[in-house]
Amino acid sequence: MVTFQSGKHLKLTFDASKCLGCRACQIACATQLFSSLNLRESGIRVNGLPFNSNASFCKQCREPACMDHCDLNAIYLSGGVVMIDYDSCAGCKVCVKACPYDAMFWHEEKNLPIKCNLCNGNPRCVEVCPTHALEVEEEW
Amino acid sequence: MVKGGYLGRILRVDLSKKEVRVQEVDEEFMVRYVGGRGWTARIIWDEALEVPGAFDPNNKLVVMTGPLTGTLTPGSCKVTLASISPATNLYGDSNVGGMLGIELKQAGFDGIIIEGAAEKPVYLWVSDKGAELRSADHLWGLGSLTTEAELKKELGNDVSIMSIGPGGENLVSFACVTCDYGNQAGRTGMGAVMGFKKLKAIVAKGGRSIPVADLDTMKKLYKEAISYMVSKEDLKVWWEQGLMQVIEWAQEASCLPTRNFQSGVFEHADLIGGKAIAKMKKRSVACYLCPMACKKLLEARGKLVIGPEYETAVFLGSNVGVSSLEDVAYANWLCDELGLDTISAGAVIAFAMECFEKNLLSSNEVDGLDLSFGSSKAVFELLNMIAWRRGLGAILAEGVEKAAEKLGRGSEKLAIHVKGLEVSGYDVRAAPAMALAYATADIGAHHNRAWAITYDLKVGREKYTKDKVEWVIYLQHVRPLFDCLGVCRLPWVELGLDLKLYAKLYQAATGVHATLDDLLKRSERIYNLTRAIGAVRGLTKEKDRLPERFFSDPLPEGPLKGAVLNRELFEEMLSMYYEARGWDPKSGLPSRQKLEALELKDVSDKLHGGG
Repeated sequence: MVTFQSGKHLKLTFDASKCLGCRACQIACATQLFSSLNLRESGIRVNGLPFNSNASFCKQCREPACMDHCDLNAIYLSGGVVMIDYDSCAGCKVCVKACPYDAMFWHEEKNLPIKCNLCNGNPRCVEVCPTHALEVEEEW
Repeated sequence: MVKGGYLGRILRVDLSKKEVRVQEVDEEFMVRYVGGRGWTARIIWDEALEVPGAFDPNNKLVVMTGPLTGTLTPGSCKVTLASISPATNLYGDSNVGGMLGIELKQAGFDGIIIEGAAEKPVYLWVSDKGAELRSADHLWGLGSLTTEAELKKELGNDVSIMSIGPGGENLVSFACVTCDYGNQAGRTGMGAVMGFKKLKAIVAKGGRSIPVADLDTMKKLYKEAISYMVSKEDLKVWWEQGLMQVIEWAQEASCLPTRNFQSGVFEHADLIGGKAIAKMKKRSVACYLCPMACKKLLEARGKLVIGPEYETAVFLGSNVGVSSLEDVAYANWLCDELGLDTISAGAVIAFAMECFEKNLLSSNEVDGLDLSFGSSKAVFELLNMIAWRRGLGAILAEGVEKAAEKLGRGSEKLAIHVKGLEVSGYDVRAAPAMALAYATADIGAHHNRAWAITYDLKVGREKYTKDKVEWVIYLQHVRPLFDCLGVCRLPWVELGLDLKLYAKLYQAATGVHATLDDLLKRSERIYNLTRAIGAVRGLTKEKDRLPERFFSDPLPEGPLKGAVLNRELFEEMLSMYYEARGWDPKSGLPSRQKLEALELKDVSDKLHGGG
């Protein structure tokens, strides 16, 4: 089990050549974050199907543009993971526009940003991926 | 009480009046007919039973998801399209993957009933806000794949699209409906019904969560299913070859249709099968939540195509004598773009080729084309001629039964169909169970109504026994289970995923208690209902007939050389079938007693009088 430790930097990695395009990751994330069966309520998106697989998800930047742009300090770093404090978020969408990787998504119904929070170190998407196209990498 | 799985709302679209409204679904109806194919069967019985033909404004096109569509089930993306079929003039349906069912449910709808016919081409746009009809003038005449690309320019990349090509527009009796590029509702001409109604496409995008009764249990069952599937060593062959591995299997079993079913072995099978596609494929493509990823992306003559799968490789390959996988794949792309079912399109071309071989068609009747078996050029040209109804294509566009009627000259013997639907990809001269499945299938000869040939191989190819009859009936009830639930059957057929798991998933999704036996009983109800639709529309047991070729033209080569079906024994098998089903042995139709036992009293009254 991977756990957060100070100094350790966790991030998701994606190998497009292994991806089958089944979207198990996407729905696992939506059920984890919002108990939802809707593909657009997920912090990971697989685009480009069926011709190729481009997965968009938070790169857990060390200097996150989303965090920089948030005037309400609703985005913060915790153990190397970029997190959203939904209590402080006003739904201004600035973070979505700021992300250079198109990895901050928008929840249409709730008017809130959605992003990968690495599921406390054990991402559900990694767990359900049948080909290990998604993995967690540790950086120091 | 229903607590999830179903949305309980259907869109009713009247193309003549240009009206869209939302209709609530009664809970008793939901559960009695399960969903998908069960709902479509009942709706066609209720609303289109006695329409004069497929191309009548009163005919309905029903597009329906199932209670497991979009839920945590492997391959949970299936949608049934049903109507009175232009190929058979009976109940017809076809099943398709892609994301449309999921988007529909995310938008809050279980499905769509389309009625009437538009004056001018339209497409239907479904979103969280409801649905509306929009002009499709700018799309009419375009291929299906091109239509998708155009609509994505208008509506964004993340919509799901179901569309028809020129084949559907020009009322080709085997026109297909394409969903999201690589998925086709191929059989029974649903694309032509859309074409008649001038409905070019259905586009959907939904933003809501699909409700289920017990998400935690679903998660657990889904995890169980995926762990089982991923543990199977066979899975790697699916990633490598997909359904194309069946080509080698069928070749070895001498049931690979070759040159219009003249033979059961193809000398170039190795060039168009699983091993060949493993080398040529660019990648594997999965359906929703399915680790099998049986679809393959290929590039052929500069075109990207999802496919071919087994049936396509038979009908655009061995059965027309074509031995180049790239040419098969290109013909597959043409069918997808033109909007033609690869099975029936290939079958009518094989018919024309055999007519040409036997001098029933002369060179000047075929625009100077060389229609010899093996000519890829002829296949490409004829596909275009069919979709645009040019020359010989206009005759072939009617399907092989009517094409043979028009042509005459004894060509009827070369028309390989049951009830007007071209026989799909298994030679049955040495497969009595599969032969029975073809003969009795409600929609005409289609392998997926009951894929019984593996049982023939298991218990003996020469046997015409009661256990085979019972197995065919069992399969005819298992298959609707998947079509009703809105999921793919392959995890069960090919990897042996436990059927009982689907009943558990159904219960977790809907909150409705039902065992596997309960669900199979409903399948039986649905099978009898579609048979009853046939009965009202003039179907009798005389139509449960196989092409003469299987009885009188022995296999000319291979390990089963000389094999033919035994007519007498096959007739006995048919009688056993009617008896086992509780159908009248004289008419071959569901008896009053059987229908009433299945709680279809109103259907029985219509069929047998009274009430």
